[in-house]
Amino acid sequence: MTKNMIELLTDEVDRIVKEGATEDELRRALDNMFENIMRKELNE
Amino acid sequence: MSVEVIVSDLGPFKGKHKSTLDRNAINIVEAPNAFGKSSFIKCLAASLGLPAKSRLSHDVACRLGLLSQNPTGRNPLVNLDSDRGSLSITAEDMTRTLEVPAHGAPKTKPKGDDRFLITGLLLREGEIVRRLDEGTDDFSWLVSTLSLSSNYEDAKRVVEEYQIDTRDTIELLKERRKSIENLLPEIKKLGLKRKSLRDKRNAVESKLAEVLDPDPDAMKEIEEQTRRRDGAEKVIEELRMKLLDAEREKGSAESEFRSLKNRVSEAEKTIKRVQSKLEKLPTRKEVQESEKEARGVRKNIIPDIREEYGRLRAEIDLLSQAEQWMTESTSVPCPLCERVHADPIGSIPVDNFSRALSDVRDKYRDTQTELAREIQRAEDLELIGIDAERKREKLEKEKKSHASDVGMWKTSFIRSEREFKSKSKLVSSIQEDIEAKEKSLQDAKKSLKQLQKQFGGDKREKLVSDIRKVESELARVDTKISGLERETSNQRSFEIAGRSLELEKALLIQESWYNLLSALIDYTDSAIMQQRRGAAQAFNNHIMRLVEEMDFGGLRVWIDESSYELKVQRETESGSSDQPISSLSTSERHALAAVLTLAAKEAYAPDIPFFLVDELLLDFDDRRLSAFLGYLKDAALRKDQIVIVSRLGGSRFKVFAKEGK
Repeated sequence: MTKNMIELLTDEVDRIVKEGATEDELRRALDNMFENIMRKELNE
Repeated sequence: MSVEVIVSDLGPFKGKHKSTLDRNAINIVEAPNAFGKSSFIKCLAASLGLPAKSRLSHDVACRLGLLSQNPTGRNPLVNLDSDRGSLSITAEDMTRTLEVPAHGAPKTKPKGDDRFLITGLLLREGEIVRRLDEGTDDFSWLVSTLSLSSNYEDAKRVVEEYQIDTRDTIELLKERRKSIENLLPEIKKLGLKRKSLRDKRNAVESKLAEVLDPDPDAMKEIEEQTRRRDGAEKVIEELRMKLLDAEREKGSAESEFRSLKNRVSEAEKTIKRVQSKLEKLPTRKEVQESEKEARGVRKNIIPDIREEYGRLRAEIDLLSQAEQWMTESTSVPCPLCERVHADPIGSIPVDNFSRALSDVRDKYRDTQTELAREIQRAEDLELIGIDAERKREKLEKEKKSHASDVGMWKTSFIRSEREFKSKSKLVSSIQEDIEAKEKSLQDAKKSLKQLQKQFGGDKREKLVSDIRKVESELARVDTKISGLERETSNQRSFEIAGRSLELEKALLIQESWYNLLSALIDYTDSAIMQQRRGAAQAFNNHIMRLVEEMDFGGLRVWIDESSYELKVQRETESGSSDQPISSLSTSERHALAAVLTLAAKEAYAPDIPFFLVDELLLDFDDRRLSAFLGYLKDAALRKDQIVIVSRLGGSRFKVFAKEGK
C-alpha cells in the first residue's frame, strides 16, 4: 500500500460524496481499487 | 417585480389556476378552509425540494404529502379527477416546473434541492418542528443533513462493510497458514523416520551381504539390483515432488476454468430467463386492445357515472338544505316544493324524508366508489402498454449487458480451458513416469529378494524377514507423507475475485487492502467531524444573530460543537440556567423552530429565494410574531426573497405584510 493509493481512493471518495453519487458508484470504485492492488502485487 | 405561478390539476385545483407573487415581499395566501392554501404551499415545496435524495428528505416529503408512502400508490398531490398535475414558477426569463403523474415519481426541472424541505418550510409537519415537539435535543441529524457529513457517513458505512469482509478473509487465510504450519513438523518428522528406515534397511542388507555365498556373479547381480532399486526410489521421490507442483498448478487452472465456466453458464441461463420474460410481455395487439378498452371506459362508462355522481350530489345538497330548513325557518319557502309552510316539520313526513336522504347518501357513496374503481380500471388498462414498454427496455438492456459479459468471459474461458488441459496432461505424464518407475522398483526389489533367498540359505532368513518388515514400514511412511503434502498443497491455494492465488500472496493482498480501508475509514471520520463542526459553527453564527435581531426575550440558543445537542439557556436576574427542550411552552418551541429553520436556510440554502410558512405562526405571542414577521419582511427586501405565508388569521399581522393573491 502506498500513500499514492490512499490519496487516489480518498480523492475518489471526495468526488463521489460531493457529486452526491450513488452507493453503487462507491462500490465500483472500491472494487476497481482492489483489482489495482491485486494486479500490482501480482506484478501484472 | 413579480413571479407567476401556474398550478394545474394539483390538490383541489382542477384545470389551470394562475397566481402572482411579489418578490421582496411577504405574500399572504388567504382563503376559506379547504380551498387549497396548504396544497398551494406544498406544491411549491415539491417543485423546489424534489427529488428527495436522502432517506430523511424522502420521509419528510412523505409526511408533508408530497410523495406517496407506497411507491406504486397514487400521488397525494394530484387532483382526484386527474391523471397528472403540474406547477410552473416563472420569474423574468426563468421557469421552474413540476410534473406529477398520478402514479410514479414527480419530476422537477431544473432539479430541486432537497435541503429546502428542511430549511425553506416552516410548517407544522416540518422536521425541525416535529423534533422540537418531541422534546429531543440531539441535532446531529441537522448538521449531518445540511453538510456533506451524511454523504461521508454513507460512504463510511460501505467502506466498513468491505473492511469486515476483508477481515474475515484475513482470518481464514491465517487459519490456513496455521494449519499448514502444524502439518510441516509432522512431514519433517516422517521424512526423518523414512531416512532412518532406509539406513536400517541398508544396514541389514550389508549384514546379509556378509553372510552370502561368495559367488562373484551373484554378488555382482545383487549390487546391480540394489543400485537399480536405490536409483528408482530417488527418481520416484523427485517425480512425486514434481507431481505435487503440477497438481497444484492443475488445481489453480481447474478452479479458474470451472469458475469461468460457471459464470458463462449462469449468464447464459440469465439470458434465457430474460428472453423468456421478454416473450411473455403483452404483444402490440394486446396493448392496442387494452388501450381501446381504456378509451371505452373513459368515453362511455366514466361520464355516465360522473353525471349520476353530480346528480346525486345536487340531490344531497337539496335535501340537506331541506333538512336545515325544517329546523330553522317558517317564513322561507320549502326548497323542495317552493311553498311556505307554517309547520315545516309537520308538512313533510319526517321518516320518509330521512330514509330518502339516507338512501341518496348510500347511492352517492356507492357511485363514488364505482367512479374511483372505473378510473383505476382505465388507468390500469392504459398502464399495460407503458409498463410493457418500460419492462421491455429494461430487459433488453439486461440481456445486452449479460451477452457482453458472456463474450468477455468466453475468451478467458477458452484460454483457461487450454491451460487446464495442458496441466492435466503434464500431471498424467508424471503419473505415468511414476508408475513406470514404481514397476522398475518393484522388479528390482523382487529380483533382490530372490537373489537374497537363492544365495542366502536358511541361516539368512531372519535378515530377509527384517528387510521385508522395514520395506513395509517404509511404504506406509511414504503414503502418509504424500497425503500430507497433498493436503498442504491444497491449503496453499486460495481463490480471490475469481483468481487462484498462493496463500501468502493472497494474505499480502488482503492485508494491504485492509490497511487501505482502515486509512479510508480514518479519512471519512475526520471528514465527517470537519463537516459537522463547520456546519454547527455556521449554524450557530446565524442562530445567535437571529436571536439577537429578533430580541428573543432572554433566551440563548446554540448547538454544542462537539455533542451537536441543542442548548437553550434562559437569562434571569440571578444568572443563566439551562432549559431542557421539553420544558419549553408550545409557543416558545415553535418560535425556536422558526429561528432554527431561518438559520438553517441562511447558512445552507441562501440561494433558494423562497420561504414558506403556514399557520404555525398563530402559536406565537404578539411580541415574537411581530419580531419574526418584521425580520421576514426585511429579509425579503434585502435578500430578494419571496416569503409566502398561509392563513394569517385576523388583522393583527397585516401591518407587516403586503397583500398578495
